[in-house]
Amino acid sequence: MKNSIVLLVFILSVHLSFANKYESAMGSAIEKLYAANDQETYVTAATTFERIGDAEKDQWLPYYYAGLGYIWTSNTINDGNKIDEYLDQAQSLMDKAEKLSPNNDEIVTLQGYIYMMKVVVDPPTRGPEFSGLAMQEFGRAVGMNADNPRALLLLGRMKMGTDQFFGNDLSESCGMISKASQMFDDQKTKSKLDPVWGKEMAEMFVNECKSN
Amino acid sequence: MKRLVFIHLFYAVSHFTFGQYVISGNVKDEKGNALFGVNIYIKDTYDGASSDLNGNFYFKSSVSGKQTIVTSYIGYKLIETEVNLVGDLIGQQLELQEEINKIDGVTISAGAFEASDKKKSVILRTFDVVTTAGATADITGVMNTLPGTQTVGEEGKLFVRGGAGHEVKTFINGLLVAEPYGQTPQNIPSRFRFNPFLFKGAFFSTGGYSAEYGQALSSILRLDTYDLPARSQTDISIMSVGADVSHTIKKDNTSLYGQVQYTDLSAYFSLVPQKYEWNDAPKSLNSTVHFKQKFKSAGHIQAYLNYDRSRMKVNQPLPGKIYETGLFDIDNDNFYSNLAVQNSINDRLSYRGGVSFSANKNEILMGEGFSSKSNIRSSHAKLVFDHDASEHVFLRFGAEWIFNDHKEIIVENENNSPLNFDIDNHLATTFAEGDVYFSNALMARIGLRYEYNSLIDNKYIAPRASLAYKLNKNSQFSFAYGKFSQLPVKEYLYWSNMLEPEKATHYIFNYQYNKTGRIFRAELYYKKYEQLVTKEFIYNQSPLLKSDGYGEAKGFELFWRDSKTFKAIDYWVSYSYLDAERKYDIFPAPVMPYYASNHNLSVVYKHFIAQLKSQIGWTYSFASGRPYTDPNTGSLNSEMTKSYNDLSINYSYLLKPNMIIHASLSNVLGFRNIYGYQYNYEPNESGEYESIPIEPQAKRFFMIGFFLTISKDKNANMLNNL
Repeated sequence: MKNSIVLLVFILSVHLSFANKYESAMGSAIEKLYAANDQETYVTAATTFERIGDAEKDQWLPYYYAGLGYIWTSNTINDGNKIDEYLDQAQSLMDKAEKLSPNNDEIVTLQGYIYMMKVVVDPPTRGPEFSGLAMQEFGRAVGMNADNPRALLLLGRMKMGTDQFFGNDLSESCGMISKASQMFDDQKTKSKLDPVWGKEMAEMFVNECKSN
Repeated sequence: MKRLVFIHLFYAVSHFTFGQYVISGNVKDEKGNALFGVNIYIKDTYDGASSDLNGNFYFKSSVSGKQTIVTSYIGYKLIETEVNLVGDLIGQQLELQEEINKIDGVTISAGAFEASDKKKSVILRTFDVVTTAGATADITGVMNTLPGTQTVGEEGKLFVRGGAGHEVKTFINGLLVAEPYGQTPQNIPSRFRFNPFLFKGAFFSTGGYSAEYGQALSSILRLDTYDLPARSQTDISIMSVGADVSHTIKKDNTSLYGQVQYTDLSAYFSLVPQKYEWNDAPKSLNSTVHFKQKFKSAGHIQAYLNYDRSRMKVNQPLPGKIYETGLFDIDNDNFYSNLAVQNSINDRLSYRGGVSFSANKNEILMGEGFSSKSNIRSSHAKLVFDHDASEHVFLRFGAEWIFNDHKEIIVENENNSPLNFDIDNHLATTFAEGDVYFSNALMARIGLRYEYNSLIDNKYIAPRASLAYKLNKNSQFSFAYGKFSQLPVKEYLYWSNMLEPEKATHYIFNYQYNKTGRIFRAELYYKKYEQLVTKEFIYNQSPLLKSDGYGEAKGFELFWRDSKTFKAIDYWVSYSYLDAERKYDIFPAPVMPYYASNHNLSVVYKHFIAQLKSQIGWTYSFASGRPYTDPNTGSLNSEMTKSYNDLSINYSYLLKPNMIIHASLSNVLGFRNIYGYQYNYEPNESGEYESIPIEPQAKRFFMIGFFLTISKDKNANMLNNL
């Protein structure tokens, strides 16, 4: 009997470690993604998430982070064709994530982020279409979850770009940015794997607002 | 229980105790270049790594035994390798093969111009239509700045590579538009009937096009209303020449658009003197309804309806007459509708098609008792299947049916009895075409089209073939060949049903260089015409018509567009050289047709000045002289007009993000442009045929408008729609 209990405990701990394997792998991959600083480290992080996603099959977060990794990769290079390739990659991952978790404000935000980055390649050609699409997605994400600081931050940044372009007053868009920046401090996450990124970016945008 | 324990133990042990084998190696592409960022992993595990900048990878496995190693990289074929992991796998040499990319890979660019915002390489963007100076928001206006087109100012239509205006056919969502242009009196340019704001993409071919299209000897213009709008909104435009209101309702996957436009030039004509005396300045009412429903399966159904009514009455000067003028009174109703469906049957097979119907009622009254009343009905039904047959082959096949019914009553003068014409033609066609991708650098398109015209009881088989070869990432060559046939125009068919279809053969050689923000194209072509209709007048009898005309057109064209070199500046330059001659209509021997000019040049410039919230643009167009016949010389088309020059400017100001003020002015420098001469049909007392020049009825045209968008998104404006 005693033996059985020992065994049972052992089995349970094994099961737990299986469950924890996902969390620990994700946790360390997320750390690596946040620490990445060049093309190679971003791609390494993104491919790690792809592997986890393909092995798990029913988790949206690995695909979400893989997509984020490729978006950030595209931000480290200048070659337009290559940027598009990374963004296409991010797009296909976002499609997978969307299938696993439809109507998810974090995924919608990232979809907008992809559109936002697409503009960078060729602003005169893509600006009119993709900046509209990006705004639409960010707006949709804010509508789904008003407490999502990333959605509000990126919406504010897009609006700021438009306002700068039209020479409008920036108080509204900068207001959105500073509100989003405060929201980062009291983010509520359901699990420690949920997205929390964006604070540094928010600080950067807040400074941009100050210098204007 | 024991068994379960054993299994769990086995799992645990196998995961944590065994394994730990090293897997390492290098990944290259077919050419031996190291690939970076390739994901190499053991299937269904987290074990894996991505290759570094030198293509090297290294990881440790936590599993052992029979496993599958996956090598995955975007744009390349996935490799799955079965291995028996009982030891380290060091120095694995992996080679990835590029996947055939049918969308962004090698494409046929010979003769093809695409306007889209989706694809990576496009010649035009959709909002170029409203931002190009001189185009006055007219689709044909902006197409006329592309190489291969000739400026024919008095017509306002598209003329492509030495071909007549009717050799260009227009399609909306793949379905034929029988009467794309508004009706105008002679020598007054017509406009495209359809509002450019509704079209998301355009495909303009100046030759060598797919077997899916026919009955156009020179060119096709395909417009697509595709995407769902971003939001519900109302657009209001108030212009110096009229007003326009449209409203869009968007809900989830459905949208409904309605638009009414009223144009009246009388106020403008009373302010700006015109050469012609207008009893009724052009007035038109144009309304559009567009419905679209997107299916869950990425397909869609859409309905498009347009009603256009116009009226005008003008007195034009006549050659050799001082006190008489030529009356031209037009009353035109045009209705166009189409219903288009597109959906997929499975992953590899999809269909698209629909029906279109148009009815055109036209009444013309001219001086000396001449009148014409016509009723033209045209229906088109089409079904096409697209089949992704294999990695290397893409097939397209389908059938279409077009029915035309032309009725016209012409009264030449009070003394003659009215001429009553009524012709019906059924056109039945079927086609099949295959795109064969030999690699990502080489593709061929081979197609065959069968056509049968009931009116002249004629069968015709038209082969089409193209080849495209990509030299490197940014440049490619392509070649297109095709045979094309077209039923003669109704003015000939009224008199004879013994005619053959007119025929053309195209040979096009194209080079295209394309890098983000810059496109260069050079194209060389030869076009041969056969069986053109010729006409001989016989005194007191019907004209004698024969299909014994012929002709050819050859030339080269250059195009350069650059939106990258100068910040906020986008410009393009098109040059076309054309050498055309044809024996057609009343010409007993080959002549250069009146609509041809040897040299055509367009320079389009756009500059957005953010500080001023303004876009300024100008377009310079040049066309060398066009031939005309001076009856005093006795030879046909032997005289040449002076060259054509125009500099148009436009200015758009963003008053607020949802309010735009737009103004445009044509021919700023006031060139006198003469398109040709109209001669009196009889000589005066001194035996001379008197003439008047055919020219614009005013040197310049000015337009100003205010465009307002009302929606929940305060930044939305009309340009967002495009």
